[in-house]
Amino acid sequence: MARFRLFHSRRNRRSAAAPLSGTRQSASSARKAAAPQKMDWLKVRGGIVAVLFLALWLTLWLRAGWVQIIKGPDYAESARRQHLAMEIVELPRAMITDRNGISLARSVECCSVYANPSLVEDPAKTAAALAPLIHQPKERLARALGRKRSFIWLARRVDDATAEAVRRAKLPGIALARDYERVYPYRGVAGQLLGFVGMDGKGLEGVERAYESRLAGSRSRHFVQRDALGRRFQLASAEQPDETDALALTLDLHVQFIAEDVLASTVNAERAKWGGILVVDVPTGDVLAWAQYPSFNPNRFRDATPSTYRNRLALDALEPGSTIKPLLVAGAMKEKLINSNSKFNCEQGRWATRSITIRDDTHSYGVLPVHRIVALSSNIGSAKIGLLLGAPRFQSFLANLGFGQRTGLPLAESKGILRKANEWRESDLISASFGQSISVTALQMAQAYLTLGNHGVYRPLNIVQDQDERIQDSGQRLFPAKVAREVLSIMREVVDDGTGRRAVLPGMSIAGKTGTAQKAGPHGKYGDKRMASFVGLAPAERPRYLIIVILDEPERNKYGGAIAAPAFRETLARMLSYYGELPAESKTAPVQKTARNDSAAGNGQIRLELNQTAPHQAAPADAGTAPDVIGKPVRLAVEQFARLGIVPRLQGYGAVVIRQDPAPGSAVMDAGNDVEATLWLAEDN
Amino acid sequence: MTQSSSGWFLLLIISVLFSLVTGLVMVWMSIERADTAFNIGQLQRELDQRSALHDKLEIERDRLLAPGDLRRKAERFGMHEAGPGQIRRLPMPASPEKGPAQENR
Repeated sequence: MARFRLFHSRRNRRSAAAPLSGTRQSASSARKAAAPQKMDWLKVRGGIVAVLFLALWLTLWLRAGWVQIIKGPDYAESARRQHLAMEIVELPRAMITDRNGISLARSVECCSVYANPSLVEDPAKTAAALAPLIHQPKERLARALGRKRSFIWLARRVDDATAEAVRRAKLPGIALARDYERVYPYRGVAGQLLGFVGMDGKGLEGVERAYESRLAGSRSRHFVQRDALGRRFQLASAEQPDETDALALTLDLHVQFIAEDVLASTVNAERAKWGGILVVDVPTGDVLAWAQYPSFNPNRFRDATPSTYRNRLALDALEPGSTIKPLLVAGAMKEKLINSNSKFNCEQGRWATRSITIRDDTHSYGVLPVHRIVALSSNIGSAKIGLLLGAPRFQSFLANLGFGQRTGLPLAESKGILRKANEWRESDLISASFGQSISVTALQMAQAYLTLGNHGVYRPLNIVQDQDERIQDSGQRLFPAKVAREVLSIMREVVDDGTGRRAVLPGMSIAGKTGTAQKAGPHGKYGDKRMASFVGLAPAERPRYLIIVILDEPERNKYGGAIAAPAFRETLARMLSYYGELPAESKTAPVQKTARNDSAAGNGQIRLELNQTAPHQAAPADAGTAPDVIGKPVRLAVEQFARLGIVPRLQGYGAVVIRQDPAPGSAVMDAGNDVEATLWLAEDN
Repeated sequence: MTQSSSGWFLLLIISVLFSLVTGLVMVWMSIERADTAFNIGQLQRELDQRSALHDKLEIERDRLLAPGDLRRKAERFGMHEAGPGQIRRLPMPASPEKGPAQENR
């Protein structure tokens, strides 16, 4: 605008300078001369503006090309990094359940505390604040936080309260990471069988290790978007890893508990080194209980020693002792060398052969039939049957039953010792006939007796229910059913009138065999240590349950018939009671807690007290009158009314009866009419 | 302005308006999508937390219902496993309130 005014003023000055008297022509020619000068300025200005715009436009295009084409991928990657974050989705390790779906092991989410020392402003101050929260010495924490590292675990798998306290403390450089903790809700139940997992979540022992690939949790990575504050959210539907199905074992938690309870009391009472009980469902080969004592709590595996979590029932091969005798007889019967009435001279308890001298432990017998040899557990009679059978056939029969080889369960397992027949000397054959010079695991023994219980048909043991994981049943017959029935009949005599009388359960036929094996010392010589055992099948005619009890190095009593047979009986009774299969035995009261008489028969036998009145058990009511049940536990009250054929109606909640109708002593036998009874309940204070 | 040029002009205006509205809708949908995704993320986290709590409560329940603990509690009330002859199976009566007891013999 200033230039425009200047142009006008110059033009005016030129006009003023021209003589007024000058011609009009000269004025117009002067204007003509000035016109080309004005057009040039406009062009110049327009050109300048056009060039400027063009330059600007080109610059913009160049810049856009630089940003989009040259630097585009880098900027796109930067933006992706800013807005997207990689997230790892981790699924927990699969659950282990019993046969009824009750969880025996499961993983739960928890938090672990970690630090990024490079972000910690004051290690000493942070350590002082953090130490009481995670229960660690602050000096150690301060040292850890002072290191030049970008990541340090401070506390793994802390409880929720600790995690919340750390979260609230908001300490710079300290953060929480999601983690999973393996929890065994029933603590030591089946601890040695279940095993445990390490800090990295991998199975280290037992089922946890055996089925690692089946149980291991899966993880997947995917990108999520995050906002300016770093909060993550998912825009695309990321694929979630499939959750692994639970591994169902064949164990029954209640039977497992019963076996462990009985075993704990027996091992403690007999001061045994350790004990084990295996319960097997005979028709299917399913292991219902795998009990070992001292027990092992997998929740606290770091506090345990390898000997505590050693799965001895599968790993410890011991000489079986007399429990081998029914199998010897089965082998000899299969070869049609003997029958249950074949007689052998038991040499009055002492028999010197060319190689060794054999003694029967407790009694001297003369000529005995085979069924009495087994019932009385004569070593001399068994040795003579073994010699008759011969090493090749006996060894082959034992091998077919599963001795000297693993059962096939995917657990760490010992093969035991069963040498080749051509390596057996006569002394080996003789000693093997009563369970020495061979070593077997409890699992192998269960496998062998499982075949006997299935009337000669080999049926593999199984610890998992999944069909894919089970050992396939070949259904191979190892010996005739007639032989099995005969052997079971002989074993029944062991319990009814032999060394296993303490296994008697009224109303139930039991086939059993006691075992008291001498244990070889470190130098191979037999010492005074024993392994007491009992193998039982019930019912004897068509076995449903197989129970094996082992007590290693008991101090108070060493005989299997005295200490292992009662444990078998108590396990069976409580198990049958749990299943509602306990046979009715009209005149006997429930089996009460075992009372032990240390001096009884000089061997500290366990006595199972029958017909003993329970502490809360009331005297029977007079016939035809209402019993007095006020103040009594509801179960006993209902039972007393039930004896009269009356099912009382219960009112209220609680465990104790506080009022009853009809009144105590009133007549309840109203001929032909139903009598109603009501019990009012309250909590027992 | 001829008839045909005014038609093109109208079409241009409509196209511009349509583009504007479409752009706005897309922006709005993108915001909503992010917002919904964020809410879903929050709900997912809440679900995870509740599932974890549920698992922990189940473990606690299992511990409380452990056969050993139940047995000890039952013994305080004089209860124990049924012995021989103590198991009775009661038939399901027509009326749930009464019915004759029968021994399983």
